[in-house]
Amino acid sequence: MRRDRAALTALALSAAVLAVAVPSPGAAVGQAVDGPRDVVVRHVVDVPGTDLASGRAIVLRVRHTPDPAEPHAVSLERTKVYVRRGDSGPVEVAALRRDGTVIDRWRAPDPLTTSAEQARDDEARYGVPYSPDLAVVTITDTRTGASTDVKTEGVVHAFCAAAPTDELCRRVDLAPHVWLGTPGPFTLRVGERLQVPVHVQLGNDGPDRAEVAGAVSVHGILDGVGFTTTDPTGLALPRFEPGHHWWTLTYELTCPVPGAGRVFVGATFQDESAEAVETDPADNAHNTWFDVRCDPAP
Amino acid sequence: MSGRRQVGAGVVVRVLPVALVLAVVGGLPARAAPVLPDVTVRVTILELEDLGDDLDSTSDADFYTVTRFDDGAGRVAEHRSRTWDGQEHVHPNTEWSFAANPARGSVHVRLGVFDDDDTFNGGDDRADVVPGGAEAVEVDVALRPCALTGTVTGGCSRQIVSADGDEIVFVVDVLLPTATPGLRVQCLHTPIWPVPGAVVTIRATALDGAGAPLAVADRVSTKREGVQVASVTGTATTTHQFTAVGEQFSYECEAEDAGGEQAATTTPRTVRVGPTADLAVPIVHTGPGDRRIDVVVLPDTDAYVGWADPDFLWDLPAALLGGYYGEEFTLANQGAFNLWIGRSVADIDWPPSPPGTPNPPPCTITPPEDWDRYGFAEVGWILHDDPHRDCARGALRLFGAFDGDPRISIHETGHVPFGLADEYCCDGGYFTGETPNVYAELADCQADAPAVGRAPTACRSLGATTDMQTWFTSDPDTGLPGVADDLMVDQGPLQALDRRRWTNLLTSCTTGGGGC
Repeated sequence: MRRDRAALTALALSAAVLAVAVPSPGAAVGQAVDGPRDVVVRHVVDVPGTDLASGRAIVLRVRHTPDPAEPHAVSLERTKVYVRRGDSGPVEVAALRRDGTVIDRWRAPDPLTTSAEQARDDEARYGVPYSPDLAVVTITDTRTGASTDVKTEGVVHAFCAAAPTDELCRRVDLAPHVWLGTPGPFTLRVGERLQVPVHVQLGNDGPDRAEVAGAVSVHGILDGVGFTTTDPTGLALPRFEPGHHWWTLTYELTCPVPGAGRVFVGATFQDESAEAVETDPADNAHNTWFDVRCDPAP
Repeated sequence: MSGRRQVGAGVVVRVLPVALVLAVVGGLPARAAPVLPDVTVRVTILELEDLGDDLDSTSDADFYTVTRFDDGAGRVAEHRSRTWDGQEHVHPNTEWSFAANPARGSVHVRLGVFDDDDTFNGGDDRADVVPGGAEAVEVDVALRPCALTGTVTGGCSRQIVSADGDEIVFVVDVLLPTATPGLRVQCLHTPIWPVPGAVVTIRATALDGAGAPLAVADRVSTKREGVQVASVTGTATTTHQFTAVGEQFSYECEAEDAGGEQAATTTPRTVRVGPTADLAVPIVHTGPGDRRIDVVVLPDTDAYVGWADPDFLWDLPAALLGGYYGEEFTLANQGAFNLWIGRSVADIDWPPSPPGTPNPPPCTITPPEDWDRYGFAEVGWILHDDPHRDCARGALRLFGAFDGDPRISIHETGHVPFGLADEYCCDGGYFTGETPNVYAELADCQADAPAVGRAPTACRSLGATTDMQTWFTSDPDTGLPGVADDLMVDQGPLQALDRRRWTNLLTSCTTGGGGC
């Protein structure tokens, strides 16, 4: 396969060499000389302009009164957007990550500046390049310190809900299955400890990778029985390509008093990021159960 | 050996008397070889592809490139690109540039392609883009004229495809400077947005350092698709005609004078041909949008039916030749701009009112309904043919400019995106900020004047401005009729404070890649 491609490449290169070999016309004195009219080698691969919608931008429409107010419109647009570095106005736009660190910041003009050439505008529009890291856009009037924070999660989530196949969005189908490593029921005496292994299988039927956050919870219909468990912390997979993943958790049961009850073990997983669209939210949780009987201590 | 010596001696014997006669009769001093200005070696990476899916077994490739230039005399530059995460086939359209002097003869370029992996995946992989196991594309770039030799075969200003298990598509250009002190090149094609089958005319003219046409230049030439198609000596203008085919064409106009010491180029431009479903069409596209000032020209609803209106397409070239391509400063920086025609229409109106009219009607700009989709544009220029005063709206990144006075477009561009205030009195837009051109305090103006090569005494008050504040600048305003003083006074030449702000943005824009 590679050789075939290499051969094609060689043919392409040969064509390029032939094109290069077209002789250039000599210079003429005082008159124009037309050259070859069959120039066919393209200078660039992509036609400029065909990719203008390939970028994604969050556009905020903000009224300044005079402090920057809550945006009256926030949209996610299919457009390339570049940060404008030329403005020297008193408004600062900052793009922030979830932890508050700055992705980028730049200045923007005051829409309320009034003059013959600078009549006040009803609103200012701020275009911010979309990034998976982007969480908050802050608009600040540096003269007064007044600012407004705009969380971007909502508009991204709405965009992906409406256009789940967009390249910005990820379609995921998370489906956990939970079962006991040792079949119940279990019997133990008061004061004893019993370890119950619980297997959790998580599937992502995709088609896109997921950023998984999940947890396994335990609760019981105790019928007067008390017991404690050591619960695992939250389960997470920051980058989960379509496929399956397994965990084995161990629950430690103790009985403070005699009795009996039924214990339910439930697993719930979801991709909580704004870009994720869960195609089948009905199967994001799964439960199993076991019975426990606690006998008096000997 | 002796024969060669004899031949050499014979040549000397025969040439020397002639040279002596010429020197005596013409009084010619011995002329030193011209000192050629630096050229720019530019590498544009167009495509990267993991052909065999061999870079990451469990996920898509995470490409990045490292481009290294070496002139062999100690001038070296190395650039690592951003990483394109999780994509088997990417179109980076990323360019890297390197200044070199033609006296060096050639520059070596090494182009490495990598797959960014964390330690879990065994560290970064080197992409296999060169047949035969070479680690990287290695090219010696001859500077004037441009020619390539190395691990790939191909010509300058053309796509070069190099592939084995992976593939890279790139272009190497060697560009003259866009200007030297005594030379500019003005060049434009018409029709400005040709249809397939149309006869396109490219006209190139050599201008002096002030932007006035030269009578004679050493050479004025035009390249199309990297091939020289027209060249003249002994005059200052050349014209080339061809029939537009396909979806686009590219061209570049060059001029040289003073034995090559003066040189200028438009840099290569790509032009869209024919109808399209796109939002905008490039009429002069010089490079990636994140390293260019992208100006979208929008038809004014009062003047034109839409972007295909023949009147609009007829008026625009004249507006460009008298505007961006008629001013020596913008000509010297023409490679930093992309010009587009936008599909959408906009509106600008400013009804006239006699001086002293209380509450005169303001300038109003109505953006296109879908203006938010034009996020790639640093500014939109609403072109109109009805003669009324113009204005700019920084918060909307729009301005209007009348085609009857093409220099207004440069003035308004000074406002947006370059952030300059007006410098005339009395009802302009005045504000200050970083690297300002007007100051709220005289002391601030005086303190800043030396930074632009001026004495503090150059600072002047703008006069009684209608905003009831006092503003100062060190840019000139003679007030003399018929004298064009300053871009932000009377659409005159860019003066020191204007140039500083334009230069700062142009430099960060074209070299930073982080927006403009």
